Amino acid sequence: MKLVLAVSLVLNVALAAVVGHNWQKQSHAVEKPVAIAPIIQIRNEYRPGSTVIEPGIVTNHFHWKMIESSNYENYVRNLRAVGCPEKTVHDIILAEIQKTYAVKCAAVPLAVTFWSCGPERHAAGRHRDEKQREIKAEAQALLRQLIGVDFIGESEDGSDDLIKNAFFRFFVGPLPEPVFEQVNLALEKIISSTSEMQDRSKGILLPSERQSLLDMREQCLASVRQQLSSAQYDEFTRRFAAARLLDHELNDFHVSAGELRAIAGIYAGIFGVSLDVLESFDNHDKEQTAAQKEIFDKRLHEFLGAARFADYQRENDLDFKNVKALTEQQSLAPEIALKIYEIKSLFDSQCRLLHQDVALSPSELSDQLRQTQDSTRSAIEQLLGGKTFGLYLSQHGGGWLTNDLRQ
Amino acid sequence: MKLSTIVFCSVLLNALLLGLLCNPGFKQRSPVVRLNQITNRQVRVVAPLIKQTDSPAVREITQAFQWSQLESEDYRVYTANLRKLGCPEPTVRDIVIADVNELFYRRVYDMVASLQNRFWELVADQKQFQKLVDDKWKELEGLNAERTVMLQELLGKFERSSKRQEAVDLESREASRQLTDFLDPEKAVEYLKCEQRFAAARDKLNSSQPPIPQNELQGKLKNLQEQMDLELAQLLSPGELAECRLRKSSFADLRNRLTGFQATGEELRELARIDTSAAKLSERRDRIKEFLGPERFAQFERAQTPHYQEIFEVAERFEVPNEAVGDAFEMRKAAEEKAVELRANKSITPEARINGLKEIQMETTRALTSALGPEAFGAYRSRSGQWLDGLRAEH
Repeated sequence: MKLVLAVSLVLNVALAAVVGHNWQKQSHAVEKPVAIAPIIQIRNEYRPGSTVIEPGIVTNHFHWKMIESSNYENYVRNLRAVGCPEKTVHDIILAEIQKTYAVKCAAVPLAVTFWSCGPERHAAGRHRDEKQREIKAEAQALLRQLIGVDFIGESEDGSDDLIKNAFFRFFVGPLPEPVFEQVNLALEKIISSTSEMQDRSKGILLPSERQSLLDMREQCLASVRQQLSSAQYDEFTRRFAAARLLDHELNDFHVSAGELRAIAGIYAGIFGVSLDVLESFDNHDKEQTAAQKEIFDKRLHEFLGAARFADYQRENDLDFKNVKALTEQQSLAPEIALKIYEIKSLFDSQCRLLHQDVALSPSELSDQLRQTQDSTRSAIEQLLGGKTFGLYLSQHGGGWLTNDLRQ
Repeated sequence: MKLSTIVFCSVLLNALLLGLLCNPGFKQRSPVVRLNQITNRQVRVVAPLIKQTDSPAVREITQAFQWSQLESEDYRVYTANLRKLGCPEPTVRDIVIADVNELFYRRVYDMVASLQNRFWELVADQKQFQKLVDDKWKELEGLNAERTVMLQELLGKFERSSKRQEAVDLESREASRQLTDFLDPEKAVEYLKCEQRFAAARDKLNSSQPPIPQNELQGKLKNLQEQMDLELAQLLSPGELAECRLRKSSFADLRNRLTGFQATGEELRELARIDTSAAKLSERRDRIKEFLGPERFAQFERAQTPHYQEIFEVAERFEVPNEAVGDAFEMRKAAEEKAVELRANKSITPEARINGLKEIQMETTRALTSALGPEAFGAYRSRSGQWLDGLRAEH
């Protein structure tokens, strides 16, 4: 028993020594003497907030100050010299330049006294905006020079960056990660440029700005195209077209997955790539010409067939949308909206025929139009009931039942 | 004590010491939870803390320094290594935030990957898609909460603000600087501190739970205001205090919205004095009119009218002279008055009324195009020109 105790006590001491040694090692880690990696000599160029190590200092401890430099180029070089991964170099430099230049931008004074207004204040505001744009351009140039990136993305509030990332990934589709990153960057860049342009113009674009936005969009698409194979780019254009179609033309018209993909292909082939789904693009996306719309309708007609195309047209008809909203609001049967749409279509064609009838004198035309309008009005009033009919006339697009038809 | 008890205690101590040595916190590497690596960057994790008192296992640097010596698969170790090396806290934050963000983007990738190939099937069924979007939204909010906890564990409590928010904060600081530019810098700092302190106290009262009854709240807010006035009176001279009050008045805000109205600093200060001292709206109006004279008073009122501001904004972008803006504003006023008159006129036939309204609309359109120029008018028409369509309405 005594032997066991002796062995155990020796073991106690040995283990305690090892534990003690480890404990000490951890609390002094990084402070042990280290050899210094080759560091580039520091120049006296301004990099705000940096602490500069004095030349000639003798130390065998490595310290961050040895990487720091008042000169951004040296700072980047020093980081690379110690093997800092390129992505981390980007993260450090991008964040630092963002912060530094944001402070610079905010510090641009409104060069006008507190008690000023009107044109004087307005001109000062414009001047400040101009100065801030110059500072941003300077920051971008510096970034390009240092890390080959000329775009400062927006950091988002809360979970917005995660949501945007998820959204882009879903829309862009399965891509190798480096390709996704490039496409993501191109899309982020165009969103940011558009939003900046909108802010600057307060939503009132000059023709030159409109053109410049379209050019930027083309550049964005060219850069996306460069990253993708032709099949991937085709899928990309279809997916963005689908987003636009589901928001507008196909909003109320049900199609299958296969049909949607095919229609999106038709749409992208005629109108080009739609970036409507990206915010702020709605107002200045390529304007759709009447000829393009006609071609699209023709192709869609061929694709869907006459009956479904008629349904599609009805679902996109403003009058039908109005009456459908009214019947839903008043909890009426959906068939009533369909019936009113049919009556309205019939009425429109009758009016057209009457207008085309050269045998009618102006007063005969007027009488016949009024009779048609009166009978149609009665039919619709009967369908909707007095109260809802009143709402239809005043708020839901029923003006065609009371308008002067001779115009 | 029996020998067997001593032996038992000693063996127990051995076991404890062995256990401590085997503890991951005592090893140079922490336990690693492997994630799928999808970039060329090191995948890091924050291993759950075993005890709050555990210190991260910092790596020892014993050779020519290379960044890889800082790296660790455990974020806590990586962060501690950066700090031990003397990396400034803002840079530690920049590095860690970017790194953690990337980790979470990979989590987003994992979440979306299974859906990417089902794009068409999912978006074609809008109702199902909306449900999916709502579910994923919640998941993403969950991820964000997880990220916040992780960042707080690594960096301590901090506000993660967007660049936009930071810019707003910086601009508000600049606005405060302008507000107090007539004061000595030290006084300005003290004044702003006092303002902030009382603003915080007001917020606290307003948002207290359970809510303070309205009467009681008003009383407390009044007391607070008196207390603040007292403190400010001690800090500032009477002249400075008066100037501060004018600059904080609602009229001072209005100076940013006096589109196209020209006035000197002294005039604006006087207008602010009238505004703050007049008890009634009508008294305020009369005194301002008397001070500015009828013509400038009309300009002052016009400058605050949204209809004028709409034209001014477009005209300013297209460099249309100010006189044309005034003309366009008058054209709108005249056209709307004429249309009202015509609609009210019961002595004419409906046909004549329709034609008359149509004529007003066409004539106004022509006149505005000529005053502003076709491009500026086009921009104005699509932005704020709905009233032109309204001119034709019979009611």
